[in-house]
Amino acid sequence: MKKKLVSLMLASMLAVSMFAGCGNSGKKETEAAGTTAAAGETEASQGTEEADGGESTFTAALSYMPSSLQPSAQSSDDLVFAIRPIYEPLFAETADGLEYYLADSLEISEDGLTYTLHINDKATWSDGEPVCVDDVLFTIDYGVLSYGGPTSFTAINGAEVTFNKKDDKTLEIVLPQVYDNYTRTLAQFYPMPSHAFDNDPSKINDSGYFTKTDMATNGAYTVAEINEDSIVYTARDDYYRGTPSVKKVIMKTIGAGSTRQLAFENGEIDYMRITTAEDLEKYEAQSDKYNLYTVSEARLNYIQLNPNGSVMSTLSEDARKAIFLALNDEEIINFAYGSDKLATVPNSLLTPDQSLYNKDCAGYSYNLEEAKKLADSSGLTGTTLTYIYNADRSNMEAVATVVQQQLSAIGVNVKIESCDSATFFPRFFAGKDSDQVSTWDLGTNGWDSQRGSNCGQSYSYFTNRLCDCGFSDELSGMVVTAMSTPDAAERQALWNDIQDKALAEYWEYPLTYTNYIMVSQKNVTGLDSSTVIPEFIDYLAIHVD
Amino acid sequence: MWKYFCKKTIQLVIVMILISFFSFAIIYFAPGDISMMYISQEMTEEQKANVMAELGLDKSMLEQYAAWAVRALHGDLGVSLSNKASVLPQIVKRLPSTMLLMGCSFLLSLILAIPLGLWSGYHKNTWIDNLISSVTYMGMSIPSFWFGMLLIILFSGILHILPSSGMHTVGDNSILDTAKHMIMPCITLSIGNLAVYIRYIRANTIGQLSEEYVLTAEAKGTSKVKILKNHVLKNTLLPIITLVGMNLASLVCGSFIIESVFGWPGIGSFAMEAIGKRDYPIIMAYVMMSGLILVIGNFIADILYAIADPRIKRGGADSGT
Repeated sequence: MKKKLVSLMLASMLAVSMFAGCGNSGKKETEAAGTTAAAGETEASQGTEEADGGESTFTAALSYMPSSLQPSAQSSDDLVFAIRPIYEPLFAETADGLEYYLADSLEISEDGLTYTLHINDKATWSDGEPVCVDDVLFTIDYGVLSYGGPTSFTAINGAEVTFNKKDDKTLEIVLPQVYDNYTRTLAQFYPMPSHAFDNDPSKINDSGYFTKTDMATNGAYTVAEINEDSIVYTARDDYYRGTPSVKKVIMKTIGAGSTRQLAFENGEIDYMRITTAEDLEKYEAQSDKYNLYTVSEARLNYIQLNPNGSVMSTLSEDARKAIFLALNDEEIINFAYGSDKLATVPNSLLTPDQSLYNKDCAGYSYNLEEAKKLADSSGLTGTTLTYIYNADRSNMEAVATVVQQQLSAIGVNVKIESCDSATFFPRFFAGKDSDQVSTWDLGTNGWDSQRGSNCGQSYSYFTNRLCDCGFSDELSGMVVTAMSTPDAAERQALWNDIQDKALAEYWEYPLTYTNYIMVSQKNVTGLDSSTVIPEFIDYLAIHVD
Repeated sequence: MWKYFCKKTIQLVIVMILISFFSFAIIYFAPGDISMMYISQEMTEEQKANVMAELGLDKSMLEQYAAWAVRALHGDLGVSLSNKASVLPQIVKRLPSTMLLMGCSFLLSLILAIPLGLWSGYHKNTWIDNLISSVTYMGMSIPSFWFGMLLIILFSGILHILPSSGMHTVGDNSILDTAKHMIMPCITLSIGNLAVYIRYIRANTIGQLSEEYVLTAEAKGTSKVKILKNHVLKNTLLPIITLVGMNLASLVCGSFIIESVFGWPGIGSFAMEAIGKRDYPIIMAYVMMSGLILVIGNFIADILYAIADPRIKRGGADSGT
């Protein structure tokens, strides 16, 4: 029996070590050519100069390991974040204009129909090939192939966009009609290397190309390691915009909940996002240990009333007005965010990061007495409204609770339903013929990346293009006219009227403009150099002392 | 024995068909439409119809199920909707991490449960038994994610001796480093199983100690330790076969919660991510894999049980039940 027990113990130990061996053998993909991982490196100390070689490392957290680093498959903020060190957009839109990356100019003709895009002459892929127009066209073709039809790059309101290759670095894009948002569309474009697929987009899927370390990149880094729980990027010395001071970027999966905060405080990661006033206060008090960064998220959170909701569809404009006048936005921010550093009261359905935004737009003013009168006269009092919100978004549950409380003051019962993203969006954007269209009366959502010289997502809402948002034909017409007005002053005047008119129709309540607050280790700087969220688009600006 | 084997095999096939059908039906009737991921605003009605046809979404549920089943039988579990890559290699890639963690936690539970269960049963109603029982009740009652968080706070946050997340330190390929990362998730996963196994073994030990063969051994002057080791242990472990069979699925499918809490890159966190994105081919593959292994685990347990206790394959007729 003793022998048996000893054998059993030995077998168990063997099994464990075999399992461990399995884990390690599959751990590391091959090193990319020209990159070297520091040998014998210990747990990412991160935020400090590495002892072995003096190269600085920046470590960030991922919620999960991406299955692929394919730049066109930006299905989540995590994936966008993971591809940013290695793949760049043509340019980014900011409140101050265009921030150029792979492209170095975008010229728009006076009639607003012809866009001439020039790609930076120095921009190259990490394998030495130049980034060129063929890569742009190849990526557009891949989109069409994936969708099985036209995409927002190739068609506007059903009419085809024409692409003319002028030379290897110059692309002329001719729109069928003036469409302000096309700049925004191009800003979301991340070219893929056509030469790696013999210019055949059908070879991308299932090629596994973007899961291997030798993929060609056009950003500041190349992929050195893809491990089970982390990705290691190393700086390119032939990057066209300069040489990054951070030589290594590590992205590692960190567990859910407060594990990320613990990992940050332990120095395992270099920064994290702050979403509560308590955390903000805590790190503000430790300014000797940490740096805080506040960036406008260019996001508008709003409450949408559903014109097809089972109750809302039976109510008049006065009822909608009663709801909006009963909402106290300052109280909502105090309760849900706890600090005006995290969110501020909006006055328009456009954000201050958009050049079309009108700072003089009046917004809504809280008026409980008026709201009560309107609620009584319109038959709103005593009704029960179904409220849906996306539980995956920060602070939305708290917002729902305050809204419920505030509407109870005018005799409206609010039944709150929490949804995850995958349930929320099909319901919130349900088409008129969908079974789900009438299942909610009001809901909270947000428009992100509302920055630059365009009207952003408001176009799809004000014209009821995405789904029926209730706005009038008159407003839709004003938007279409504004979108096709090339004269800047005339366009601005139209948009000022549109912002007032949209609020006067009482379908969408601007809830908050939010800020993106990050805390980093003291020796990490430059996280707020670019205002594009999800972070970070400009890795040259990040420094680890 | 062959008859018993065939009967169980037929049952297994039927159960698998039912599992696959109901899983498919749940996904089919779930809110949301996967075509939303493929249809753009710029498409005409004809183009949208083509996309629906290409995805097979224009067919009835039964037709869609049949098409999926035929492909699955040929080893094609489809293509992920979110990353457009084949599902099977993605699952296979994550399998070693999950098997490592789940296997070690399973071994740890078993290695600790056997002596503790025997000891507890042998010392029934003494302070040792009460102590072990109290700990097992706690182990069964504590939510695993909460216990995991406690361990993280203690060992990572306060004592700074263990990493809070992940499977490896970047750049460190040693077994020791992996073992360090595995300690907390392994303990968290083990604690529930350990408690259950101890209770089973304790109860069986108490039962076996009152059997006549134990009395005979005692009468022959065999020491208590020898009786426990040589006679009682074997009979006590029989019900553990069933538990092991039931745990076989978790060995391969991982744990949603623990893998998420500890950032462990296994099948559980992969499936969790797929559920969040409604990536139906991955969800379907995961459900089928866990169902298949659970059923196979139980099947193996039944067969082993029948081998270990011949009364079972005779349907209990000979045992007087």
